[in-house]
Amino acid sequence: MNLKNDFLITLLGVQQDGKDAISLPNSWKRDIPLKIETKRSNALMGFAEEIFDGDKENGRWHFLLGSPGNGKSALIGMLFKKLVDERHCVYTDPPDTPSEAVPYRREIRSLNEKFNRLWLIQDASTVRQPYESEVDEASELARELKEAEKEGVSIIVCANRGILERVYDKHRCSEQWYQAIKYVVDKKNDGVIDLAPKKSRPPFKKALVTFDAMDKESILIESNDFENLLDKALKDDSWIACENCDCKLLCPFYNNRNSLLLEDWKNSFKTILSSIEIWSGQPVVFREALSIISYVLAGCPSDYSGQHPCDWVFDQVTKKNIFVLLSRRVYFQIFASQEPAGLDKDPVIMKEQWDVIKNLENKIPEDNEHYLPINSLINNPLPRTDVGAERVLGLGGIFQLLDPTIENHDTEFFNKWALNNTDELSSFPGLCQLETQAFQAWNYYQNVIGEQIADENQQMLAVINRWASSFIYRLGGFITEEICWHKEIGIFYEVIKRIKTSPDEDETLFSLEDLGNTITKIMAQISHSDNNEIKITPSISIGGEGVKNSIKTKVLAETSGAGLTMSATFGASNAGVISVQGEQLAWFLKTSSESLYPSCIPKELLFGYLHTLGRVASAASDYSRMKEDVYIKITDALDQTKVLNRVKNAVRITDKAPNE
Amino acid sequence: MSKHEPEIHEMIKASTIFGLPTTAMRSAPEVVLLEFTRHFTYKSKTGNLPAHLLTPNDQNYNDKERLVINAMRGKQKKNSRQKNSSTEHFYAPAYPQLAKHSWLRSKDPNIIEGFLIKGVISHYLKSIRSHEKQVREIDKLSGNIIDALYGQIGDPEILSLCLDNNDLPLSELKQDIKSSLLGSVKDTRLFPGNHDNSLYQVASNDFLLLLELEAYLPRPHWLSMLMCYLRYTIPAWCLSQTKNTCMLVKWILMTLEGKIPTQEEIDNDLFNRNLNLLPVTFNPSRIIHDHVATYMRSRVQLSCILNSFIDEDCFPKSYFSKHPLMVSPDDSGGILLADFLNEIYSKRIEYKNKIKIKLGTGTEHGVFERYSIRLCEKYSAWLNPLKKGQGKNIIEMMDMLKSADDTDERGTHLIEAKYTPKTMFKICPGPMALQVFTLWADNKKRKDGAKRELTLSDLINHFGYYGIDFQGQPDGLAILMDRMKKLGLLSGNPDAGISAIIQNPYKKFLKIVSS
Repeated sequence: MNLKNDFLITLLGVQQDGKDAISLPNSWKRDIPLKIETKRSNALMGFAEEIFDGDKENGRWHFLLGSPGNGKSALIGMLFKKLVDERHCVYTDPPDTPSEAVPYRREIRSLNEKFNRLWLIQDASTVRQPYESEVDEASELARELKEAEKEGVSIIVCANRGILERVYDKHRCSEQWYQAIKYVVDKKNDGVIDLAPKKSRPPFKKALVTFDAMDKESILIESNDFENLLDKALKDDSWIACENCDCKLLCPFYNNRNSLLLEDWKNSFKTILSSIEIWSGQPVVFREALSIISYVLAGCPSDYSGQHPCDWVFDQVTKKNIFVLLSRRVYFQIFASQEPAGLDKDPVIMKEQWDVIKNLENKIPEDNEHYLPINSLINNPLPRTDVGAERVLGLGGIFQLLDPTIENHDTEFFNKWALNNTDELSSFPGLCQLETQAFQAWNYYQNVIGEQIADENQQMLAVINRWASSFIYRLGGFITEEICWHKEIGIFYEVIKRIKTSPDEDETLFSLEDLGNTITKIMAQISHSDNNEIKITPSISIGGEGVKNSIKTKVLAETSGAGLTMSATFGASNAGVISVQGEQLAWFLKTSSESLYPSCIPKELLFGYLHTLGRVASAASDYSRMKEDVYIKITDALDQTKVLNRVKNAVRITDKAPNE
Repeated sequence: MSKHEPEIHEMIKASTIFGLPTTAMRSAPEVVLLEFTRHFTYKSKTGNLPAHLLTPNDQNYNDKERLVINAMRGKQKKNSRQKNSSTEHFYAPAYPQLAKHSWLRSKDPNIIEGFLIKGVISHYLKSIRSHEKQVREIDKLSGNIIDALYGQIGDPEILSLCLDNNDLPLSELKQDIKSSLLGSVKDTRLFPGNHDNSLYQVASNDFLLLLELEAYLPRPHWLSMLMCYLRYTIPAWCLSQTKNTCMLVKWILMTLEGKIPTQEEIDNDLFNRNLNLLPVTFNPSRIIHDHVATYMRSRVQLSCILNSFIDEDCFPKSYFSKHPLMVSPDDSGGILLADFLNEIYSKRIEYKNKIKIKLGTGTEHGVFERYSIRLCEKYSAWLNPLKKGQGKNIIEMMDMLKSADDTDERGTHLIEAKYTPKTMFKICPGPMALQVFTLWADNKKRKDGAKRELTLSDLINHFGYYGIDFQGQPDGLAILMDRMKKLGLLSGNPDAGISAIIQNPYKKFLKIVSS
């Protein structure tokens, strides 16, 4: 019996173009899909209770700061719903809100009071007058805060950091509302401001200013929010309909759900998503997380053309279109969203693959069980590649950069995750009938080609093997977490995690020291210098004890940027702090560990690095004015090297450095 | 009349606002530094000498000096990228002593004098209205230039110890610069004075800061910064000046059509002339060529219109040959633009009637522009503005902005990579340029009294003074963020957009200099 699971429709709603992707005030009264309690949502409820039940003199001005999509509005929406549903609060929109516009501000009061105690201000997603010719979010926020101060109300504000910084820069004044902005921008929690100086009986006379920097936290590293979201999506109640469905053995979504219930699969999924954060230095925000979970468990809406996802699955199962179904398995979805059914994204290779597959179809008897999968693949639309979450899943997205197929694995990996080892693989926990049938089909196709002696067969075998391995390597990479850059990202991840969770522990301090030493070593290695010399320009390297000490790297026990970047200083001088990001460090670690030529490093990264190095060495020590313990190695255009050595104000030219 | 375009009237040529100094090819920042160094020390060669660029093979230098020359090896020469010879690179003179035996072609125009001294610096000095302060600033500047070039402040630097003693008297050099600046300021016309942060003000302050920093930075690093300065300032000044000519043509045509621009409109147009000249983007474009083509056409058109005023007896020839055109009512000794436009306005009907007959048209719509274009069409600089006349030279001078192939060892370039056709390129400042502009932005912010942390917005503004625009194209800001991230200088949250905090890598030096 083919059943329909409407939870999949709910999940599709949270994809980036879905109806629930953005939480706007006019949808706050509805339950939000995959609603979870977080420490933040609990704290916010606490603030609301304090505002309505607590000290009647002191209110609160609370600012939720975050990147677009990181759940600020959803949090406020949850709070609003609770206040209205459970506390029976009454809300109004400001009188000047256009009827068709999304309210910028929502004013809330208790049922038994005549005045508003709380305003919810949505500066991140909406503006007060959307039809104004020049909308400026910073001026809107400043105006709102001024009014809130005048009225003496508590406020909870959603804003992007950039808007707050703009208010700070462009609306300087000595008023209390500006003081509140100053507290937030200067990162001073718990400042107090005076409210409503001219009102005789304002709701509040003072307000405690607090803020929550949601843009500096990862929902994967510093909280269990992502795991809770995933658990919520996987929980049994939502999948009951699938239990009795005839398609369940071949349904990629139900099987993704079952696989992700296994600890190993779930941990791999989380680790891979953390790697994305580390690589890009940008946290995965709630909206992206929801979008990815939805894609993994409900697929891509573009595939369905208005159909129910379960109808699409039924259709594919009926046609035995297993390669299309297989390309909606989690390991393939995330790494190969741009390679429909395992066919390469390079159009030339894809055409070659199509030619082989079509040729292969002619070689298989129509009554053979493996005929239909290939026939269906040829005669039906391929899975769509416009799967949303462009930054991570789109063409050139971060998942593609971390794709296990581009990592140089060891032999053991290639031997294990191979088409000739599929008997063993089929019994692997978490795999389903889709994999088993696909393995059988690929092996059969290889046999068919192998039995017929022809010149073209070698090429056909290679193409089939590549097609199969595009699934199997990704499966292996997913399960073993051996994605591209996994070792280098792992090092960075461990240090960042320690900085965030236990910055003062001995182990953290030692790991920071180790990383600093590694970076110092790599600096010399990448600049192709001996004796710890530093290459300043292609023609100048500097060396000597004085220089060596001045460029010794120290990694600080603090993060910068979005909380996923490390900070480092050099030597004992105050030559400034530089930010070290995941992608950069990964390249340098790999260059060092695998003795790569620096020219392998992406140009921009290498140039950025070399200039940083030159700058750091120049700024940390004026090597050119040191009177001892320093030398300059000069290389001419013919690669001949001479050393300029200095003692006090005397210089001499030698062929070798003093310590060589 | 020159071969390619009508002769430019003295009124335009002598105006430091509407005249554009003659340009010439400058393939590398090392060459510009050589010209800069010689300008203040050994001067340009006279006669008919070919260029003799700096090379370590020059037997005039001893071993130690040759080593210093090798240390400052720069961009590879375009015509010899495949060869591997020491002579195939450009070399920068680390100190003036190394510029003694090398020079540019003696017939080449002096772009340091034309664009930097008579352009940026003189306009800055002219804008100091108190004569006493102006002279004090000239005195300071003259001293700082020579002290920085010769490394006179602080302990001797290792490369300077390799050189023979200087054979030029420093006090005389300083006096020469001072006299030359005083003369050039006298001939400089005032820009309208109600705006701060003009290119000449910002670029002069950046220059002064660089000169002061010489004593604290290793010489190779400081020279890279100075080359970066020259590499950006000269083209930026050149392009912004070309805009003035385009605007003058626009104002004249507007006046002929019956609408005289107000002094405020003129002031604003002039102040904004360098805005958004070069939008940063990875989409290849030919924007510099477009600017130059527009300028050349405007320049020919302007000459043709002025000639036609003479031909139609609206103005006597002497009107255009005696005094320079000036824009500020506070200025003296020239023809005020507002007066000139009023004169045109009063004669426009008479002029129109005469040219209508020549044009043989009954319709009045756009008659002035159509007539001027007809006159322009005789000139190859109008028909082929990038290949004939000064347009070609300007493009060749802009070569100094280009990186060598898709890389540039010094990282001070503005134009990246090459495309087919050759005139397409990407505009994106190199890593060294980003660092140096961050320093300047921080310095400006401090001087303006702002105590907040340095943000991307400050950096974007500073590039903006030089006509480089990070916000005009959708990818501009993303490119800037990415580059700053790769330099380890973006310490704020990218979510803050242009408000994201950045680090000035030379912060400690600013503190030293300001203390």
